[in-house]
Amino acid sequence: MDPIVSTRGLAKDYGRSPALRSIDLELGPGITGFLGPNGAGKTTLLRILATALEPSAGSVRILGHDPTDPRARIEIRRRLGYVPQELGLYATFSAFDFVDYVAILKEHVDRRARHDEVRRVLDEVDLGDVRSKAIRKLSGGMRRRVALAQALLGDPPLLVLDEPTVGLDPEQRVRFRQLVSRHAERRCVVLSTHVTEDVEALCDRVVVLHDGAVVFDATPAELAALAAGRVWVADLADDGAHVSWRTGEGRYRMVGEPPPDADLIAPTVQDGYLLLGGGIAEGSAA
Amino acid sequence: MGGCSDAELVALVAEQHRDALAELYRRHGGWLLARLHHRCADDGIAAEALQDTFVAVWRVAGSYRGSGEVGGWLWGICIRRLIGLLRKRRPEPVAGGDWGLDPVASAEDLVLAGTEHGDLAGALRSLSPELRAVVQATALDGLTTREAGQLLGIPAGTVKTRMMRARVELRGALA
Amino acid sequence: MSWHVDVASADRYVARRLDPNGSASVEAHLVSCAACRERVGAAVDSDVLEAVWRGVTDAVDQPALGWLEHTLSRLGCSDANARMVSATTRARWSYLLAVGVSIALAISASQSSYERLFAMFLIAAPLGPLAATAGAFGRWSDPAAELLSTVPTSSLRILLVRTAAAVVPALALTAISLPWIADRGWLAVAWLLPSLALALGAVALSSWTSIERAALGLGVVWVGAPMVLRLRVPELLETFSGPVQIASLGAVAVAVAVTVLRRTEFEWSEG
Repeated sequence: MDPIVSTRGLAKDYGRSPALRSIDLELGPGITGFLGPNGAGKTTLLRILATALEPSAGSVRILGHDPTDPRARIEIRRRLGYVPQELGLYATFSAFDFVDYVAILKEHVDRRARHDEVRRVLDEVDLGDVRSKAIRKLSGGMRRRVALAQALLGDPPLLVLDEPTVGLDPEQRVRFRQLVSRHAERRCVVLSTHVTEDVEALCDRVVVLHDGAVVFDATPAELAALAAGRVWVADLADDGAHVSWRTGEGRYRMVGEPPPDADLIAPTVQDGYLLLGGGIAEGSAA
Repeated sequence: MGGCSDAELVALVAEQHRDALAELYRRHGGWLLARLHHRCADDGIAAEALQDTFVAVWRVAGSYRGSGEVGGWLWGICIRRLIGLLRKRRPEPVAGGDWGLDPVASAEDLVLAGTEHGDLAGALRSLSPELRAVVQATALDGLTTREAGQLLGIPAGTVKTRMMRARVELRGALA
Repeated sequence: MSWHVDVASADRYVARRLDPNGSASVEAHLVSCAACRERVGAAVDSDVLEAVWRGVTDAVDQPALGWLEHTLSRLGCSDANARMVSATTRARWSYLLAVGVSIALAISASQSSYERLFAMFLIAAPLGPLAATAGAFGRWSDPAAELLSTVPTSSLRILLVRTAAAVVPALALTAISLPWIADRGWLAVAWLLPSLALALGAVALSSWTSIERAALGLGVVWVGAPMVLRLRVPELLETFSGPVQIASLGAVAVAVAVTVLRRTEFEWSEG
């Protein structure tokens, strides 16, 4: 099966500072999460995949097309849904009006069919009830859902979501995960996040970016496994640990090199990610 | 949504909640349409009046003051929408005459709220159909003389004279 | 309430086969009894009710058309273009401000007989449409710019529609100042071509840089040129009637050519 997204040597520079250095990726159906600190290049990469940004070097193929070719780019855009990091909605439009406007720009010409489609996507994100309300009257979580709804127009095979769970409360986060996993069955969903629980709960695959390069590319379980035998709890914080914090039960959770008699516990994706950042792990399973 | 009172639903509609409008329609659309059918023989016009009603409800939900039953408020909007539609199709009211719409024959007896049988109903039954129709339109449907005229296809003046005759006859029948 | 509408009566009422006395009873009763309303409602043809509800949904969902969109679709504009214009003009403070400044200048110019003020007006007036153009695009004025850069509708088309949406009203509003300066003869409209040249020039330049920078640059050049060249007012008015018009015409042609030739550059959002 052809990959939905593939990049080879993809690079992007802003002036003299490189945002992405030689990224090689192949993404197929399923949900891929991109983790990494601010400035790692997640947004830059996602913008390139969404055809909002032109690469500086390397090759990209999205949905079988080359986005640097103008005609092919339009073909990609016809089958793409994108939620940028900055929401960018028109406050005075109603949710329906805004999604309808985007639907027009996405070439849904027939008014009746278009309105049915707008209603469908708004129902999918549970905004059917408030679709006539002005966006400025909607809460932050609802606005995020409006942005998600427009990305779902036309049921696109590729969804690019840049930090989609920012500002969502835990219940909304769960609803979002349900929505995305429903959508991802035959499609490729690419999302970036800071929240490792999202990756754990949702992603088939996780790519960790650091300073514009890929430092890890495998399953979330494998990322967690990097920290196997390196996570423990104790009553006091251990200064030698790479990272430690106090848990709700009053004990300390440590990630790093454990002392001989440490009380080891099962690692999470977050543990693996933290270790990766510290460079203690044996090297990335790329 | 199912647990809300009608008044609560109207308040939600005023805040632009679509589910509330849908629930209001679910509860009231049916009987309003049936009642419209009793005022207008043309099913198409009745359906159009119902549609216009709920579109209007969406816009004016804020004007419901909470006094009286929501059902009554809805019927008020409904009957006026119907009159508006009939007026468009029948620009000049003409005295008497059959225009293919038969509101008069549909409910020949008047029953004032709560009273089902008894002297008043019997007395009303003794009125001629035109007089009864006028009394029904103004008392049961709560229309003004002009609106009653538009519904029945007669000039407002005729409505007034028939009302006077009806009152005289009723007084006589009840005495 | 002791008396209610039983199912049989409900059916007969809906079918209009209930005796007139009974019908009136039912109607008076329904106004205040929810359970009986359900019963009667259940007897009504659900297909008709469904169809009516679809009509209600469609009518209520119909996007709120401003007078502008309404007029445009009457004039034969497609849904897409009309909506783009509407999205451009809604809540555009920079745009209104720019036009407001132009009008203020025009009126103040009219208050004095000084040629100098009129000359200032001629220079300032094109800044209105220029600012309006920059205001119609770009990150700081269009929150949805990033998202809209990834839609299949050609960015150039969006650009042109929105430029027209910004420039035409700005020009029209600035033209309100005409009565005050009608005594200047044809010079009263001498700012029109330069306005067009500046606005289209900014659009063309935005294929290289951001439209805000392009507009700013052009604005500075436009306002600075007479100062740098140390033109006196009579000379200024002379240049306006001849050379400036011709140069503007040329600039418009060049801007259009550049925009068309570099149209694929508008497809990308900015870095």
